[in-house]
Formats: sequence, C-alpha cells, structure tokens
Amino acid sequence: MELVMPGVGVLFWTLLIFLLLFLILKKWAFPVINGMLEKREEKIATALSRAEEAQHEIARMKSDNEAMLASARAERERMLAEAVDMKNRIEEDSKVRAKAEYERIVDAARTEIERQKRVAIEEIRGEVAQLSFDIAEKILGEELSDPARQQAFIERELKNVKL
Amino acid sequence: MGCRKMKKLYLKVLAVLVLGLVSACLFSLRAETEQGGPTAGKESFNAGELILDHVTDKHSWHICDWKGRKIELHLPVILLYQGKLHVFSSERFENERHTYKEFQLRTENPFKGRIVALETTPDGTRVVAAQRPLDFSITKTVFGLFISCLFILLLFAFIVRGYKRNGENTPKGVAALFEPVYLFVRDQVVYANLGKKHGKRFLPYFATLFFFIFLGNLLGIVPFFPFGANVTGNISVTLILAMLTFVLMMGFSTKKFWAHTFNTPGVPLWMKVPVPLMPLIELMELITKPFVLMVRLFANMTAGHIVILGFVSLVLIFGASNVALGWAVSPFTILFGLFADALELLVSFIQAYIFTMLSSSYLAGALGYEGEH
Repeated sequence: MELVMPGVGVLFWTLLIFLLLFLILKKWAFPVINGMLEKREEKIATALSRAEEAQHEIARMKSDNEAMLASARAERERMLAEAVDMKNRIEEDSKVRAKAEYERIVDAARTEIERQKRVAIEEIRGEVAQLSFDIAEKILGEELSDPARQQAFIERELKNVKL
Repeated sequence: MGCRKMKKLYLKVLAVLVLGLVSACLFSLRAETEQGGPTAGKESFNAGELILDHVTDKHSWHICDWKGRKIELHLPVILLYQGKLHVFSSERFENERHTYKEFQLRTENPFKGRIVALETTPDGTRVVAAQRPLDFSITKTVFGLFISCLFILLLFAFIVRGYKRNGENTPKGVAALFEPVYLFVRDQVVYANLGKKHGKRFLPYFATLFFFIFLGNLLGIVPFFPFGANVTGNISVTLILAMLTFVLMMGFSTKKFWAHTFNTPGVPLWMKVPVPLMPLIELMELITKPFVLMVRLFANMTAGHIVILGFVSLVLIFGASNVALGWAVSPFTILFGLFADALELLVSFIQAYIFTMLSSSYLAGALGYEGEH
C-alpha cells in the first residue's frame, strides 16, 4: 500500500524542486537555446531565399547575355550587308564615272580630230589653189598660143602634182 | 565518414552503458542479498521483498555492502509535529525499537516505512499517537530528485555554454546530442498540439517537464549510487507533475472550453437536461485526465524497475537453492536483464514523450485551440 500512497514530504519537495528547475531553466537556458535555434533557422531561411534569388539572377543574366549576343549578331549582319551594299554602290558609281570620262575623252578626241581635219582640208584647199594658180601662171606664161601645147602642158603639170 | 564514426561512437557508448548497468545491478543485488541471505543462515532470499524495498521510498540510501557491513547514506529526517520542527539524521533510528525521541520509524504494518509519533498511555505503554507528524524528510526519492535536477542543470549549463560559444552554427558536443531531442519536443509535441503562437509561450514549461521526466527515468535505471532512485516511479512525484498540468489547464482555460464542458455541442438535449449526464461525464473526464497521467508514469516506471529487478533476482533465487544452478542460470539472467534494461531505455523516452504530449494536448483543449487553419 505504501507504494501508491502519496507522501506530503515528497509532494512538497517535488513541487519545490520542479518549479525551481523550471524557473532556472526558463530564465537562463531556454532563451539562449531558443534564440540560437531561431537565429539559425532564420539564417538558413535567408540563405535559401538568397540562393534562389541568385539562381534567378543567373537565369536573368543568362537570358540577358543571349539577347545581347543575338543583337550583336544582328548588328554584325546589318553592318556586313551595309558594307556589301556600299561596295556595290561604289563599284557601280566608279563604273559610271569611268564610262562618262571615257566618253568625254573620246568626244574630245573626236572633235579635235574633226577640227584638225578641217584645218588640214583648209590647208590642202589653199595649197591646191596655189598650185592651180602656179599652173595657170605657167600656162599663161609659156604656151598660151598653141592649144595643143597648152593641153600637153596641163597634163604634164598635172602629173607632177602630188596630192 | 564523420557521421559513421559518430554512430560507431554512440553505439559503443550505449553498449558500455547497458553492460555496465546490468553488471552493476547484479553486483549491488548480490551485495544486498549476501547480507540478508546466506550469512543470515535461516533467512532465505525473498525477491518480492527485495524488489518492493527497492522501489518504495526510504529514509536512508543503501549503497552497497562491504565486508559484511552495510554502507548506507543516512538522509536527514525533517518532521513537523505539534507545531515544532524536528530535524535529525535517520541514523538515530538505528536501534532496536527504531525510535528517537517520541518518533518511531515503523518496520511493520500499520504505517510500515513511515515515521509515527508515540505517546505514553496512562498505564505506561507507548502506543502510536493518533496525530501523525508531517514528514518533510529528504527521503531517497527526494535525494534522487535533487541529484536528477543537478544533473539536468549541469547538462543545460553545458548545452547553453555550447550554444553561446558556437553561436548559430551547427551545434557540437552535448548540444548536438541534445538538440534533436529538443527539436522533437518543440516541433512534434508542443508546436504540433498548441500551434506556434501558444507553443512558444508554453515551450519552456513543456521542455522542462519532458527533460525532467526523461532524465529522471534514465537516471532511475542507472543502478549505482547516486542514481537509481525510483524517482519518476514515485506516486507523489507523478502526482505533482499531473497536478501541474491540471493547474495549467485550469489557469488557462477559456470560455469556449467551459462551454464545451457544460454544454457539449452535437449531443442530444435529453442528455443534458434535466439530468446533466453529459456535463457530469465531461467533468469526470476532466478529473480523469491528470489522474491517468499520474498513474501511467508511476506504473510504467515502477513496473520497469520491478521487471529488471525480477530478472536480475532470478539468478539469486536459483543460486539460493543451488550455487551451480545459479551459475547456470546467470547467462540467461544477464540476457534478460539486458533486454529489460534496453526496453527501459525505450520506455524512459516514450513515457516522457507521452506525458508531455498528453499534457500539451490537454492544455490545447483548455485553451480551445483547434489547430492552425
């Protein structure tokens, strides 16, 4: 029976000791332990969220890079096309100009030739007239009476004429 | 790698503990019986008496026997009798009649194991007085309680120092061993029942309760001085713990809880009026809750002690009839004792868990807390 009969002494001491233990632990132990645990949990949570953020950041940077790369590529394409275009234009341009120059030169040459020709013809014409006069002088001076002779003379002179 | 090493270490420590437990138990029991058994000649070994003697409270602590002499710690006796406080050592009762001044430590019924006051009748004989002294003695249980609490304080001092040194980094040493258990109590017991808001408020109480019971249980199965007192298997101790739960329930009970008690919803009206059947049942339940808490812990721990001692006593029972038989039985005794000890390790934790779990769930009921939505 003694086993199941509560004794006043043990009741008293248990209450006292347990409450003292509770108060001591509550005052000195649990705030430290709970504080550290909470701090650690917070740290882990922030570390996790930060890691996630970093991952997002990396993904964002990656996509940014890709966009930049794509735009750079496009730019290059555009510049290349432009260069080709310019080259073609310059080529075309120079061709046109060369042709114009050629034509101009040819034209100039042609007019010069024309002019020279005309001058030459004028010259020839003068010379022919001179010759004619000379011939006429000679005919008139020597053999104006005899027609046969006249004829012979003209023919001979004419043979001498070098045109 | 480190984890495996740690595991191995823990296993080693556990094995050494259990083996030491059993052997020390055997040793101390043998010592105990040698004094009362073979040397006494006529007196045969009485296992039941030995076990009961071990699990009940006493005013002195029998440590062991050395060369035929009892070595025991005489604990102080503190009595309040007729308005006067009497303090003396229990050694004063070491005489033939177990009396000191007007007090007697009874060795037989009625009041076996208790201290009574004697008074002289007119015809000269001394009889037990009707008025009993109030016994505030530091008994074996109270002393065990002191030891257990000192142990807890020491443990927490180490833990707190560890946390202070380590900051919020992963704990090391004792704190690392302690933390999983603490987190279990916090998350699986207190927060699970009370939610985070209430839980935070009551966590220190329930954590203290848990470690008080858990370490009390564990130290109770360590068989050598100054441990091994059947602290948590003492009805007074469990009564106080259960009462504190009850006080906590009453102190923090809400209108909702009382409305639920006296006007239980979902019950037909004829069960409440005119005969208040349901309120009576609910009130009985209210009383039953702490009562069951008290009895469960007491019965489990006392039964554990009885089972271990019973197994260990087997060798002595057989040895008393025949020494060779005693030797033959001893391997099985050790095996069974080992099993019982290992079981007690488990029970120590489970009982502490159940007590804390039920206490917090009762408190949740009193608070009218119905879980986080």
